[in-house]
Amino acid sequence: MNMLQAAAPAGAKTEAESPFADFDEVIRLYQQRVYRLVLAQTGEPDLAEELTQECFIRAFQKQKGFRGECQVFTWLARIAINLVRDHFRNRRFALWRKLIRFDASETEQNQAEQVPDPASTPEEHLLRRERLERVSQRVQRLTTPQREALLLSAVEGMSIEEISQATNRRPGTVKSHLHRAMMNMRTWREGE
Amino acid sequence: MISIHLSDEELTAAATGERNPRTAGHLEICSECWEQMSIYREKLASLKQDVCYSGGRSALDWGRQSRSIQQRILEAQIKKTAGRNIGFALATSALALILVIFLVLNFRSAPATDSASAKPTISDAALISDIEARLDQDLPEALQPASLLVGEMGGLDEGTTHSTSHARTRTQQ
Repeated sequence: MNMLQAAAPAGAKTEAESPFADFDEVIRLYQQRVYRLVLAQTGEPDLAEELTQECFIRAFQKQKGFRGECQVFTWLARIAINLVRDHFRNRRFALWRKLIRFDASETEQNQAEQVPDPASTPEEHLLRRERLERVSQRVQRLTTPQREALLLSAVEGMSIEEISQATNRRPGTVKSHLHRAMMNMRTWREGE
Repeated sequence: MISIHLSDEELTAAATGERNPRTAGHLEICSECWEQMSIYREKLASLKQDVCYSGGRSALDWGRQSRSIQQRILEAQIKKTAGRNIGFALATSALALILVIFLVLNFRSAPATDSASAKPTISDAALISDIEARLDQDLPEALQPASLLVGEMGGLDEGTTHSTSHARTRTQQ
């Protein structure tokens, strides 16, 4: 028995029926995809890491709510998308708070973001940051529903039905957002 | 001959992998629409590549993140259990307090109950004397002289004297 099997919430489904019986495996299988999805939306690696962790904690706590009507990743993507939405909603208020009182920790936080990944070369780290900036610049031109639909479709290869489940929007609406996002995408130039 | 090209909506839908027989059939014969759809597909592939590359990390990092998640889940579980224990302790304390208050109030009201229970004792004595008096009253005529005698001799007790006096009065009547 692994670490999280022992700590599984009371009333959780038995090992045979629940896809979360081995939660360590769930983390191992999906953490990269969840992180990628959050990172593409936020453009901030530290924040993406924090929200990814939060996503799995929520998934663990609410695993009883998973009825198996969709793929595990679709369910995780829904949690992650809601976390990102909540974050940006709260950030609007945080901006006002920051304007009122100077936050000295901001500079430290910016410096922390510059710390390179010890396992990658400085060149690689720089390239990753450049690519991330490019993605951020592009997707920030889209509205939130367009961004969500485009990333889930293009990066995760989800169908309209799956995106509809993950974003809690009707399939027709998703289709329309995806189309508008792609029309916007047509204006993207190489190297921009 | 190709009369109508695919709309942008149909092209974007086809680029994202949506299957439609009419669109698929048209794309097979129309190179212009195929080219347009290929541009969309390239843009999507480029976006995917950029996102995957920028979100790439070393195995060391993924391992660290995985451990952080496990650690945070365990902490959350411990916090939840502790919260439940505190709740149980508070509920038990509240119950104990209610019990103590109830006992104290009950103890204070106990003397009042004693005084109330004393009343029936007095009425019992009155009832007994009343019965004795009635018995005296209902004394058969043949025994009445004997009861007078007993009364003159000083009586057995006060109650008896009292009852005999009644009997005497009755005899006189």
